[in-house]
Amino acid sequence: MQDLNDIFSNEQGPSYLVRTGVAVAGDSARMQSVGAQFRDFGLEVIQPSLEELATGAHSLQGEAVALLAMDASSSGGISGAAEVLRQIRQHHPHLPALWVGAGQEAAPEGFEFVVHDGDELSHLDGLVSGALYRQVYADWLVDVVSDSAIDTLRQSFSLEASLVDVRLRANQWSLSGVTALVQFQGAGAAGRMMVNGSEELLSVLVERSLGAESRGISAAMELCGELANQVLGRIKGALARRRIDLSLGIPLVLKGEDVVLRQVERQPSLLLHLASDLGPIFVEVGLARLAAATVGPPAVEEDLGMATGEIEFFGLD
Amino acid sequence: MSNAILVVDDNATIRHLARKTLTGAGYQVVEAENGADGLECAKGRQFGMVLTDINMPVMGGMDMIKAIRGLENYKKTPLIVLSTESTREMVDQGKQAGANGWMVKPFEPDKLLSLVKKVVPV
Repeated sequence: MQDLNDIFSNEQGPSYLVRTGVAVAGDSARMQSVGAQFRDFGLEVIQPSLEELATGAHSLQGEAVALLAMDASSSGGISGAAEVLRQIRQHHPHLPALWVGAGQEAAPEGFEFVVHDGDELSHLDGLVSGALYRQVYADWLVDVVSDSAIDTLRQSFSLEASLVDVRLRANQWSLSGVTALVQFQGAGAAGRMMVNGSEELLSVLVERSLGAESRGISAAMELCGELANQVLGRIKGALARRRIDLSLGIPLVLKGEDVVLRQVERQPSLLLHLASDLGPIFVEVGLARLAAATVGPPAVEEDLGMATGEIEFFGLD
Repeated sequence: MSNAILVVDDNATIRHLARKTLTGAGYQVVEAENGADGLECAKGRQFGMVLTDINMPVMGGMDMIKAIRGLENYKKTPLIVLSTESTREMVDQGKQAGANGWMVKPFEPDKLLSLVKKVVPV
C-alpha cells in the first residue's frame, strides 16, 4: 500500500509527487514575508536555488513543492524572470509560478499568479490554495465530490447549487452554522468528509422535505447529517467504480458559531464552496490515505453497483 | 398480514419522510433508531414489512436483518433495505443476509410506495 503523500494520480497529465508546500526563491525581505505567510497557512516552505531548478540539478523529487514564488531580486530582474521561468518549466512543466511584485508591478510572461507588497494574507491564502488543490487531489476526485454534492442537493432537497471555488485547507478552520462530519475507511482509502451550511438554509430544506411543522434546529441538524450521508454515499459509489472500496461511518453533527475543525490528517483537505439561492454550502473531503495502485479509470462495463433512487427487488421466499 | 411497517434508520429526516409517505397511503408505521431497537421492536410485534438503513450506530442494518430473519415469525416477512450504500458487494451481502430488496437513497415516495404495495397490501 502506498501513501497518498508518495504518489498522485492525474489522468490529464503525468504522475506528480504530492506536493503540499511552496518553493520560495530568494531571501529578500519581501520573499521572507511571503514565506512566512505560506507557513502561516500551514504549508512547508523550501528555498531552492533558481539556478539549480533552471538546469534541472534540483529535481524537486521528494520535495513538498506545489508552487514556485519568485520576485525581481531573486531572478535577475523582471526581464530575466521570464527566461528563468521558461528554463525551469523545461524541467518542471506543471509547476505553477507566483510573481511577487513591488508596487503594482505586472508579472513577467509565464507567471500564472501575482501578488504585490501589502496584499492581504487572506488574498494570498486563497490564491495559494486555489493554485495548489489540483497538485494534491486529482481532477476526477474534485469532480466526484462536486457532482455528488450538487446531485444530492438537487435530487433530495430540490436545491440547485453550483461550484464556485475549490481550495485546500491545511490549517484549522472556524465554522458557524451546522456541520456534519463522517469518517470513512477501507482497503483503498481513509479520511473524512464534512458538509456545512447555515441553520437558515437547512431549515428551508427541512420545510421543503418534511413540511413547515418540522422546522427547528434539531430537524436542521438531522437533515445536515442525512445530506452528508447521501453525498458520501454517492462518493463511495463513484470510487467503487474505480475499485476503491470504502466503509462509511455514522454522521456526527455539530452546531455552533465558532466551531473549530482541526486538521488531523497530514494531507490538506479539499474544500469545495457551493453557491445556491439559499446561501453557501461547504463540502470538505480530507484523505489521510489513498491506495494509488487501486486508482484507475472508471469501470463502465462491469456491474459495480446501483444508481441513486434505483430499486432492486430480490423476490419473496 | 399486518399492514404495520417498521422503519429503522438513525436519521430522523429519513424516518419522518418514510412515515409521511407510508401513513399517507394507509400503512401504520413504527420507528426505530438503530438495528438493536429495530430488533427489539420486531421481537415484540409482528410487522408486515421492515424497511431499514444499513449504516447505523449500536447495531447496523445488516446484522439486524440476519437477527430478524432468525426469528421464527419473520422467516417470510419482507425486509427491504433503504440505504445510501449502492455497491454491488453491499447489495449482495444484503441479499445473503436475508433482505428481499434494496433501494438506494434518496427515495422517491411513489417508487417506495410502489415497492411496499407489492409486498404488503394496505
